Amino acid sequence: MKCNPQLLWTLVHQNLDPPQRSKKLFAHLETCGRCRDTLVELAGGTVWEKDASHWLEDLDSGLAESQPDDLSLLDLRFLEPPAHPEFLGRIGRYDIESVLGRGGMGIVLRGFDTELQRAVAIKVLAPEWTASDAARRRFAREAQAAASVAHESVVPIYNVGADASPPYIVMRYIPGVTLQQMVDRQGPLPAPLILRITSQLAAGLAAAHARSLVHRDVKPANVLVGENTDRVWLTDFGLARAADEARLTRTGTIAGTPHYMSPEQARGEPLDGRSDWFSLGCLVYFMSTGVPPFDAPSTLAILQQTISAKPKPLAKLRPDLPEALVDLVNRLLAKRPDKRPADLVAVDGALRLADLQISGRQGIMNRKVYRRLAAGILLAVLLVLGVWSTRSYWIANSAVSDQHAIPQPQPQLKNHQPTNPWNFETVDEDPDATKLQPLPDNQSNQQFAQQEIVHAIESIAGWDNDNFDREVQQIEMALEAASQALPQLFFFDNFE
Amino acid sequence: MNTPLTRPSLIARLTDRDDAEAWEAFHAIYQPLLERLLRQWGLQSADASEVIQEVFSAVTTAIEKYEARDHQGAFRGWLAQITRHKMVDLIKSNQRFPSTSGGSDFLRWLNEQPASESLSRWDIEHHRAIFRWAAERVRKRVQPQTWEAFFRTAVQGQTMSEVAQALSVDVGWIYVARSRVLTRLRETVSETAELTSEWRGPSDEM
Repeated sequence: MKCNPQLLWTLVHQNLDPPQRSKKLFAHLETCGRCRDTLVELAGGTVWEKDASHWLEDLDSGLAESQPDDLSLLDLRFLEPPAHPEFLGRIGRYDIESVLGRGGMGIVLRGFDTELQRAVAIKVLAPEWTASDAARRRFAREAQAAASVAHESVVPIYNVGADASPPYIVMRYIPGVTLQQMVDRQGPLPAPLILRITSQLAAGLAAAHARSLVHRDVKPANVLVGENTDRVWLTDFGLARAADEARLTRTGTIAGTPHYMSPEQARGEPLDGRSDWFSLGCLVYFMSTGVPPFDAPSTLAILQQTISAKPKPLAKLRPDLPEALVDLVNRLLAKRPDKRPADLVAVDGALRLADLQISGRQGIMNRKVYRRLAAGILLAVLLVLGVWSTRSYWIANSAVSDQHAIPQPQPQLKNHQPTNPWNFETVDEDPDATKLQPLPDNQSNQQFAQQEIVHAIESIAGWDNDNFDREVQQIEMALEAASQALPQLFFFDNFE
Repeated sequence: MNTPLTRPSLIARLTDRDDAEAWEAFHAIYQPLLERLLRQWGLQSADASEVIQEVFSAVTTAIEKYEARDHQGAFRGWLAQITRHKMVDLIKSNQRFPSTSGGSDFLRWLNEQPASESLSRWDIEHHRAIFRWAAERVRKRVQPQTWEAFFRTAVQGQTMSEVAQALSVDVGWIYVARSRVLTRLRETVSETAELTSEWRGPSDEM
């Protein structure tokens, strides 16, 4: 067999220990120095190997008595022998490359479709699915229905192996994490991301509801988040029903997490799409806070809460969320289905409003920041200039006759009234006029500079709070005028 | 030696008293480490426990004031200092110490500079404690057979064919098992030191 570093990478990094059946692969590894080197390199190289063995030297081999996770005890014997020794095994026309994980319904494998030449995810169902013919038929029916949902936010089902033993579903392979993993790792998500995810999930659910299909198990672990987090996909559509019936037949109890169940689901009543809306509400709450709205140590207590309790107010836990989003979650979490949003239009409307509220807030934020920054800079400049200006003004005034009737800064500032703010509109009419004037002599230069500074100081006092753009313009112009005036002042002063 | 000595990321997380995971890891690493060191310095078990308790409570109150310095080993130097103070307190409050061998060993240790670059006894034990902690975690994540294949060949130095026969597995399988354990060990140890983030392949969970 040929060397395959990618396979080695998978073997090292996959969650499950590799089965011992791939005889050809292991025989190859035994003789191939290159592959063995690759394995050492993957693990950190020979230096690391030496380090680790050195520091673990006096570790008793019987250190841990704890049980390994049951994930590692997974039995892959149902796989057919691999077509190539590079693979773990084979199901139908799919070569199995690695184990992606394990969920409530079975295990998920990464496979390669040999006919269509593409990577796929294969969900192989746990043994209880095959318990009876009825369970099998139910599974086939639900899986076919799920496969009929074509929406960009629903993981496409490529194929259903209902008659295989064990049955399996072939889906698009989506690299990434589940929403559960994402929130577990990152904590509560930022508001814009919550809106993006919610809107996609709502659209996916609505597409299924339009076909009278209820998801029944909307929860973070059933939402896949793509690698760039821009897109999410719902998975396991409708399968919850078949799974629950199969489990109920077998054990008489509800399995899986009850955190996202609707009250009607908790009571075992008939469901429609509105049950999914409730679960979506729980999910948005979870994205916002990191915990589900109804939480208790036992399944029964959770169901009890779902039916009768109010969750902790989202607005208090996340005051930064737009009101429309909080309001939407509250409506989604209504105990009575008829109090929840009627359809996608209602949900989408709320999300759009929330989006506007976010951008509105950002606008306010930016304005505030900008205003403070500008005012801070201007004040600093003016403080310096103000000293120069006053000083030079009196020096100049003593040398200048009365024909230069220039405004006196102090009285003007004192007399300044809010009703009569410094009016820059005259400057607006011809803002460049002053700059384009031929350079006056030193004295009038200096007076002009003083005027500009007085203007600038007054413009701060005269800010019209409702006219931000004008303020910014004024600040900019005042700054520019002040910066032009500065050398004049220095020049005059030094010259004298 | 390219293994990390100190755990900035974990230490940064300790400032959050509610970060149960970080505190658990801290106790899991430093409790056995201090116990071992203190016993080596001749303290009796009860005295060692007392000092450890004092050290931990001092860390809990002082961690907020601790500012991670840039060089590696800053935290363990800081911790060594706290331990030293607590041992001084114990000895001062306890008349029997000057006469015991523990006292003299301890005085010798007091004269060592914990911040020195050399691998002092403290450093060696610190290293060992981190690896033990990491090993414990990794062992829980792999099959017992995988761990055994790694431990017997990589640490205990048994030959591949010997172990393959004992575990009735292929030699090739042992290479994979070793690589799996070493990879996870490295991840876990570097988790404690925030090494430069390495390239990660596609998520292996779903």
